[in-house]
Amino acid sequence: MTTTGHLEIEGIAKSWGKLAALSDITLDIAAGRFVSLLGPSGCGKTTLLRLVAGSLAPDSGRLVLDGREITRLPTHRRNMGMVFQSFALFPHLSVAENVAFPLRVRGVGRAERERRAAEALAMVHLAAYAGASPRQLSGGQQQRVGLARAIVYRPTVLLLDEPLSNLDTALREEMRLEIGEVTHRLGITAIYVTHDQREALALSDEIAVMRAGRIVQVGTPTDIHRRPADAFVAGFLGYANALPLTVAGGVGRLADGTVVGLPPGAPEGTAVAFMHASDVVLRAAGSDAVGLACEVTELAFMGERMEFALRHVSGLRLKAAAPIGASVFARGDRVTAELPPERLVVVPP
Amino acid sequence: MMRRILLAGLLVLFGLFIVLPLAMVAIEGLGNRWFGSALLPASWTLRWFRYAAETANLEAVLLNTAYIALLATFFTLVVALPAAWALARRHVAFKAGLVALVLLPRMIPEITFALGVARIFYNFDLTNTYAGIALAHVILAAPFAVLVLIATFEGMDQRLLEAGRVCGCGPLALARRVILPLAMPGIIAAALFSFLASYNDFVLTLLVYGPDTVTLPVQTYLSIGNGYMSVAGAISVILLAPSLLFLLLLLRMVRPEALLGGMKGA
Repeated sequence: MTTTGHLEIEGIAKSWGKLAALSDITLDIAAGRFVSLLGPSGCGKTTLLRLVAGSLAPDSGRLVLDGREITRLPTHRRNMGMVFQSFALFPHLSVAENVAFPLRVRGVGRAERERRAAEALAMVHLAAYAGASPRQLSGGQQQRVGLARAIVYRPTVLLLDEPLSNLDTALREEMRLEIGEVTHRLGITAIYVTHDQREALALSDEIAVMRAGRIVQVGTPTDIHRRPADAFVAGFLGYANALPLTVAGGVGRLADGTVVGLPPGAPEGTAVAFMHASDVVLRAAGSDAVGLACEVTELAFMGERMEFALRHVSGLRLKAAAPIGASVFARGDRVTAELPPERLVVVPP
Repeated sequence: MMRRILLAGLLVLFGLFIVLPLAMVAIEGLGNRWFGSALLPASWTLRWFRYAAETANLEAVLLNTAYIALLATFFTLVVALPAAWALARRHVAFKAGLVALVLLPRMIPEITFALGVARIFYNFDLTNTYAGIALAHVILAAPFAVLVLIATFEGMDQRLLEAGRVCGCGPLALARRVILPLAMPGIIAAALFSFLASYNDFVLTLLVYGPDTVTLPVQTYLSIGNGYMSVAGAISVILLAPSLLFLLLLLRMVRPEALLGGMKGA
């Protein structure tokens, strides 16, 4: 559906003095794709976004948009849209004037400007607030104005810099859906910077996980979630359980010698096995289940599920989660924690 | 309780300290037959204003003063806006030294500076010209204007400028559509203070004025010299008016504390 917005990031590097902020970043973003840059603060994801926007210039490497090099093109000629963490609405303009601002700068006539601004405001369900000042709006509303302003001129690429970080938890999901709806409706290429793996997984066609100025893994949300490339990615994606192992001949052992069944193809030597809490199966101790003998040290009611904190006899701590009613254990109960091998992700440390 | 009374008393004293001389000038200008050590004049009159208009060519003097002040304000902004922008937004070498240099004219005795300015003006034949006197006043107005504008620009949200650029603003459009509107409270404050610095200036003007460029403060001085204290009082009342008006304007438009520091999102 979309024919423009193919962005190629080729070997981009940027450093602040001696500190390398980005090293050898290469990423091909196909037209109309929604790509997230995911990583902890300081990993360089915002720096990369600002390089794409043109607020910063790279030390080396190229940016190519639809076959045309834009590495040195000033920001205002890149035709990109941006949604800011801090909203960055113009306080001296009304909501409608904020949204119409990019059109005004582009010399679009008044009638056309007003029509398109109204259309963009309607798209984010804020038509009723056109005449208001941004200051009169809630954070969620302000960010929707920010989104309308960023798409009203149909930019080639939409850049989103942690757009949900300044919003209340309740508003966050609503705004996330809004962003998903709008970008899919327009079929626009989008680059979304976040440190929240749930946002990235929910919204993206593709995720690039970043660490210390490098991209460590690129893949679909399912890929990244099911097959994290290393311990960092797995940890960052919220795997609750990390078991240090020694793998020899396809057999994994914990530090105390307990054998853990592994999926085929696990790397030999020292490794870490990751597993989501919800994949751990709890059974009462003494049943013929095979697994780790643990004690329930804490439990928490989380609404639709129960979470259990466990301690293995070796001292290793584990987490398990089960739907309400599926298993009833109390603090101090002895249990066997089954770790289904096909759910284990074994990566080098 | 005692402390409160003491505090209130001190505040009243401080208020009198500032207001009393101004009140005296006003009474001088409006009073009739105020002799010796009498606390108040025997009667009131407006004739000193008429006298001032007749003897001191008041209309021309008022126009001179306003014209020079407007010109000085314009010159000051032309100099101070780019200077403050550079000092606030860019990494300038010797920034502290440059700021100190801008402040220097306000730190040293005005008469000293005026002497030097007068010498230059004689050399270049700038005395008794509007532009020349306005230019001299820029030296007095610039320090405050630069300080206020530096605070304004430093307090400006960098993200808004970035948003402006992403929205398609080149350097000129950004200045016109984003930076100027955001900086407007600071620019207005700087302009008002520049206008007043020129409008009220006496020492510097005294050394460079001429017959065609007499200003209100200079005329006040001349009237005192001629022995017309009440005429001087009447002129001073006129002299006071814009200052008080601007002070009210300023209080309405700009939060006073904003003048002292960051004007975030103002």
